[in-house]
Formats: sequence, structure tokens, C-alpha cells
Amino acid sequence: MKILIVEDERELAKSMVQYLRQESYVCELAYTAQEAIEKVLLHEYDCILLDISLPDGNGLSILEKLKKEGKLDGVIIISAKNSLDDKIRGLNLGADDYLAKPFHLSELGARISAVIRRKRFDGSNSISFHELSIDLLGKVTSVNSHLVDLTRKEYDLLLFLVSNKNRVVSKNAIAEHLSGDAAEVFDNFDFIYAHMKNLKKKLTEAGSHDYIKTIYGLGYKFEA
Amino acid sequence: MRLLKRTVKNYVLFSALLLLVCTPLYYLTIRQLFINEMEEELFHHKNNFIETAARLETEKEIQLYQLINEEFILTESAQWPIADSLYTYSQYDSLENESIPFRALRTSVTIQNKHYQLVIRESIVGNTKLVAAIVSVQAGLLILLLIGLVLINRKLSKDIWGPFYIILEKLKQYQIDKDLSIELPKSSTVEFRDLSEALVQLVNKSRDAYLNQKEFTENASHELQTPIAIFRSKLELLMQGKDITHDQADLISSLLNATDRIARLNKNLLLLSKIENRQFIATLEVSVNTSLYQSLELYGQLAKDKELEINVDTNSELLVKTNPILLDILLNNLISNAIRHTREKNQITIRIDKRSLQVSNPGNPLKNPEKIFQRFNRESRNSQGSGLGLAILKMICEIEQFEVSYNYTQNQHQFIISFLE
Repeated sequence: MKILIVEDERELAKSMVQYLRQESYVCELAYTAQEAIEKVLLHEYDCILLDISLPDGNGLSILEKLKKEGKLDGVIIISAKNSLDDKIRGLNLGADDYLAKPFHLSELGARISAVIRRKRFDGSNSISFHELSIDLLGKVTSVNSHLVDLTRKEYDLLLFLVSNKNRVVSKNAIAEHLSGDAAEVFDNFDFIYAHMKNLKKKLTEAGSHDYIKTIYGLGYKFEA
Repeated sequence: MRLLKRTVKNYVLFSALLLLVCTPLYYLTIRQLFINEMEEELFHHKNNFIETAARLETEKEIQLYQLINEEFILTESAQWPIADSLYTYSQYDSLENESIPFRALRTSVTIQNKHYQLVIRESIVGNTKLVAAIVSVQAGLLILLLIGLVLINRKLSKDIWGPFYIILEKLKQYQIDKDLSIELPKSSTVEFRDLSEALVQLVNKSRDAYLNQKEFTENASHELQTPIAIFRSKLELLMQGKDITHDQADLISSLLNATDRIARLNKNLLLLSKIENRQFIATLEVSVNTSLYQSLELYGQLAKDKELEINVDTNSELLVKTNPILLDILLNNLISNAIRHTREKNQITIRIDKRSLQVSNPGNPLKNPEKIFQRFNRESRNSQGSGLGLAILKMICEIEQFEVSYNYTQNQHQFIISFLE
């Protein structure tokens, strides 16, 4: 799967490439709007990460150009502005998602996999992994075709980990993914531990292999 | 005291003093001059009399003369000669029914070898009246002069100071956060023209500084987002390492937590400056009840974790014209603040009345309750909060013209937001 990263901050771009490479994505980089437009016209990408504040032009104009060329599928806008206006304008122009800096790489990973899945499976999609199967439309999980009764939070947690499989996902990223702005009120991440314990228990009891590993001090990893 | 009054006051005081001191002085001087004149006259009369009397021959003639000229009083005197003396005396006049003052000269004359005492007198009533008349005319003129002075001065001052009062009024009405620039009248008076120019410059400079400062926070926060993103991403990559020891894991975890705090702080600073810069304008009629339940859902898990009981008491539907995003932020901040600062297994009470929202939670009294809405004012350093939540709440209330108050009663922290009609 090919991803184009349009980001003028080279260090951030490098981090993204390095993180996404582990998920067997092929990443290409564009540091300027000009480069981005050239690349988009020449190649097909599954997903485009687009920073809208580039030195040589507003990223939203690239978005307009992409729309004209009919290559708008799978664009995730990345912005340091986090302004509602930009978000609405970007989404109205046809972008698939909007992510405000500073984001967690695992959050980016989850967003990319969601965008790609949507694009590929035309909406009716599910993720299968050996005995484990997640139906993204029905938001249900099954092990060996038997439904596992997960709460909303447990389902979100599983999907988040699966979207970042083989990578350590920090408790901080999980907390923010699950609770959004409310995460900042938590003085510790004990609540994640409780959800995680329940999730693991429910999956193993249903006959699944215990894919979720606890990484000391840092977080969790879905090991394939 | 107004400038106008102050100038006029000094003029009036000086003129009144002048009037009070000078009128009696003037009166006395004029009177003295008259009396001196009169005395000369009396001596002149005496010489005349002596000349005339030398020509009188009989006693009868002398008596007749005296009868015609009643200012002469001639009496036979044993004492002779009498030295000339001047004196004033009063004599009752039955016709006028008043005592009339006279100035008199007493001397001695010899007529036909007979010694007489001669008193020549002159009434000073007429003179005194004249003096009084002169003085009152003079005083009247002075008073008229004074009134004229005051009136002219007042009129002149009004005209001259007119532009000054206009400038003052314009300055009073100027609001740095609302008005773009200031327009001051162009006066023909050099001083006021200079004043206007200096003030316009000052206002423009202050406004530039104000705008710069306002933009600075927003720009700085924006600029910080990218380095924070880089830092966080590198930490997350570091985390992926295969052979991380427990010590290293603890270090990375601490760094991740610190990064979270920086990110949160920066996000809230940005939010605060966006609210301050009035970037949330669109208003709708929103139900506080609905927004409150949404907010409670968001923080429900948290309350559950702390085993908090949240009692919501709604007496009526509270509709408010406001920006819905700002209302959400306000409610989220109020509720998260209450949840954060309530100990486990306690109770939070929320009440919605006709025009107000009230949130109370138990807790120990604050050390500095008056600083509760200030930025970065935290009661304890251990709190994970950004220190901006209540400052944002206050700012929203200011922008949206809600009234917010905090009080502490019966071991309860209580926030009341009043929404005006």
C-alpha cells in the first residue's frame, strides 16, 4: 500500500515514515506543495497525508487541485491550526479525515488504516486475523465465528490495537483515543488497565489466542 | 473643579477683594479731599468777613449782616485773641428732623474796637452725600466690570477649550479591543492640534501593541504544535525498540506524560487566545440541558471510576443564545473541574433553574478563592490540569456575557452561571 506524506517538517515526516514502514506501508515524501502536486499527478496513492500549512502555498489549494483531478480519495489533513474553519473547509472539499498536531503516531496509524479500509472494501468491511474477526460496519467482534460481547470501549480499544499491530501503543495514546478531551482529567490511566483486562479475558475465554501483550511501563502491543 | 471654574474663580476672588478694600479707601480719600477743600473755604470766608466787617459801622449793621449770612455766628467775647481752631460738630435740625454735621472755624475778630468770637460753619451733609454718590457710581462700575470679565472669560474659555472637551469625550469612549482607530477633531489652536496628534499616535501604538500581544499567544501556540508533534513522535518510535529495560521504559513513560501535559497546555492556551480573539462568533439558541447531558456522557466513565454520584436537578428547560462550541467547552470545564476536585464516593450536584446553572461539589476550602479564575493559579502542584480550565470558563462568560460566581458554603464549592435574558 502506498502512502504519500506531504509535510514540510522533515523530522516529523521522517517519524511518520519510520512508524508506518513497520506496517508494510510504502511511503513517499513531499516537502513542498509543488512536489506534492507533481507526485500526485504521476502516481496513485492509497492514502495522502496532507499538511495544509506548507511554505509554498496553502494545502487547501492542493486539496482543490486533487479534487479537480479526481484523486481525492483517502486524504487525511494534518494541521497545526486545529481550527474548526479549516476542518470544515477541508472536509467539505472532500478530505476523509482531519488530524490536529501534535498527534500520536498510533492515532495516525488508526486513522490511515480506517481510511484505507473504507476505500478498499467499499464500506462493507471487516478485519480478519486467524480466529479473530472484526466487523467494522456492525461493530461486532467474533472468535471462530462466535460473537464476543464487547462493550463499546473494549471494541474501540481492540480496533485501535489491531490498527497498530506489532507496534507498542502508549497508554497516553489509548486514553486520548478512547476519551478525547476528557482524557486530560484522568490523573492516571488505571481505567485503561481495567478495560484491557476485560477485553483480554473476553477474547481468551471465547477461544482466541492472547494477542495483546503488556509492555512494561509503556503500554500494549497487538502481536501478530 | 473644572478648568473654567478655576480660572474664573481667581478672577472673581481678586475683583471682590479689590472692591471690598478699595471702596472704603476711596470713600475716605475723597471725603478727606472734600474736607480739606472745605477748610480752605472756611479760611477764605474768614478773610472775606474781616474785610467786610471793617466796613460795618453800627451794631445794627453787624447784626443784619450776620442774619443774611447765617454761616457766620458772631458773639461778643471777653477772651481775646482766640487762636484759629477747626472742629466738627452736630446740630439738631427740627425742620429736617435729623442732626446735621457741621465743620466749623473758630476765630476772633475786632469790629469797631469791640472783641468778638467768630464761628464760621459749613454743613458737610451735602458733601458727604456727594462723596457717597461718587463712590457708589464707582463701585457700580467696578461690579459691572467684574460681571463682564466673568462672562467674557467664560465664553472665551468655552470656545477655546471646546476641542479639548471633544478630545476628552472621544478618549473616554475609545475601547482598545473594539475600535479600530480614533478620530480626533482638528483644532486651529496649536496646543490642541499637537495634543490630538500625540494622542492619535499613542492610541495607534497601544493598539498595535495590543494586537501584537493578542496574536503572539496564538502564533506561539501554533508554532509550538509542530515541535511537540516531532518530540512525541520520536518518543513513540523510541518505544518500539526491542530491548528496552524497565528503567528506560519508566523514563520514556515519564517523558510521554510530560509531553501530554505540554500538548494539553498548549492546546488550552491556543483555545484561550482564540476565545479572546473572538473566533467563535456564530450564535444559536442552544439548550443547556441537552449540552449538559452530552457533557455528562463524555465524563461519565470518569465519574464512574471515582464512584461519584452526579445528581442533576432540572426544573426547566434553559435555552440560551450563544456559540454552541463555547457552551460545550464551558460545561465540559465546569464538570471536569468538579470531577477532578471531588474525592472518591462523593456527590456532585447540578441544578438548572430558569436562568442559571449551578454546580456544587464537596471539598476543603481554597487558600485563595479570589484567584480561582486566574490563569495558572493552582491550589496544588500535583494536579495534572493545565491550570487554564477555569480561566477559559471565565473568558467564555465574559465574551458571551454570562455571569459566573464562585462561593464556598457548607463544605461545598459552588459555581453559579447566570444567563441573562
